[in-house]
Amino acid sequence: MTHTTTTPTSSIKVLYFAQVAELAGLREERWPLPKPVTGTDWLSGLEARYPQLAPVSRLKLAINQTHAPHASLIRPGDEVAVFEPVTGG
Amino acid sequence: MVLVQPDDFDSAALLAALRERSAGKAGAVVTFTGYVRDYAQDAATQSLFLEHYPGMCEREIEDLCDTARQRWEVAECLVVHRYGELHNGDQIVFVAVASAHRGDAFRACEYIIDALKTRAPFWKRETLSSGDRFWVQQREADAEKTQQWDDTHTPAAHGK
Repeated sequence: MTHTTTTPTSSIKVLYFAQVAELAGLREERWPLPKPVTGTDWLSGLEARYPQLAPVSRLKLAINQTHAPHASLIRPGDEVAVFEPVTGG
Repeated sequence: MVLVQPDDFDSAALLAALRERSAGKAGAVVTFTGYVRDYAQDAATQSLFLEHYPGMCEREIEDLCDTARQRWEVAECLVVHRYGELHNGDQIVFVAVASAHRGDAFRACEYIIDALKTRAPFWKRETLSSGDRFWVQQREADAEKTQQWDDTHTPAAHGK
C-alpha cells in the first residue's frame, strides 16, 4: 500500500465474500488504482498480497455488482467483488 | 417481484398474491420451492449459513426474470430467497411464474431457478453435527445446465 490518500477517483472498493473473505481475513478494503487494469492483472496483485487465495484463476469477479470475466477492465472508482463460484438456490 | 430476506416465507400467501396480480392474464402458475437438505455425502447437516451480496442478488434475480419475460410469455414473476442461518428442512427459495399457458410457465420457472444457482451471489456454508464447517462447492451439473439454457432456451437433457 502507498501512503497517498485513496480517494474514489484513484482507488477501488474491494469486497470479499464467503471463503475468500475467510482466507483474506477481511471483508472490505480500499485498493489504490490510479488507472484502469484488466481483472487478470488485478488478480495477480491480489494473489501477491494474499498468497493464501491462490490460485486466483478460480475466483469470480463482479464489477459494480455485475458478473465480469477476468478480461474486463477495472476502473478507478469501481466496486469490485471477489468470490468463489456461487451456491445459492 | 424479488425479495431477498432472512425471514421464512408463506408460500400459500405469496401464491395468492401472485394470482391476484395476474388475475385474468394467467391460465397457469408454476412454483418451485427449495429446501435445506444434507449437502455432505457422509455426515448429517446441522445447519446452513447463507451469505449473500446485498444489492447484487436483487439485481441478478431481477435480470433473470427480465430474461424469462423476453423468452417466454410471462404475466407475473416472483422470487423469494433467504439468507442467514437455516436448518435442515427449512425453505430457502421460492420461484413462482404466472403465464397464459403452462408450457411457458414451466420453462420460465425452471430457467429462473437453474440460472439463479449459477448467477445469484449466494454462498452456502454447511455445519455438520460433528461441528465441522465447510463452504459448499458449485456443482458442475448446475453450471452445465445454465449454459444449456443460454445455448438453446431449453433445459439440459441430462440435468438433475
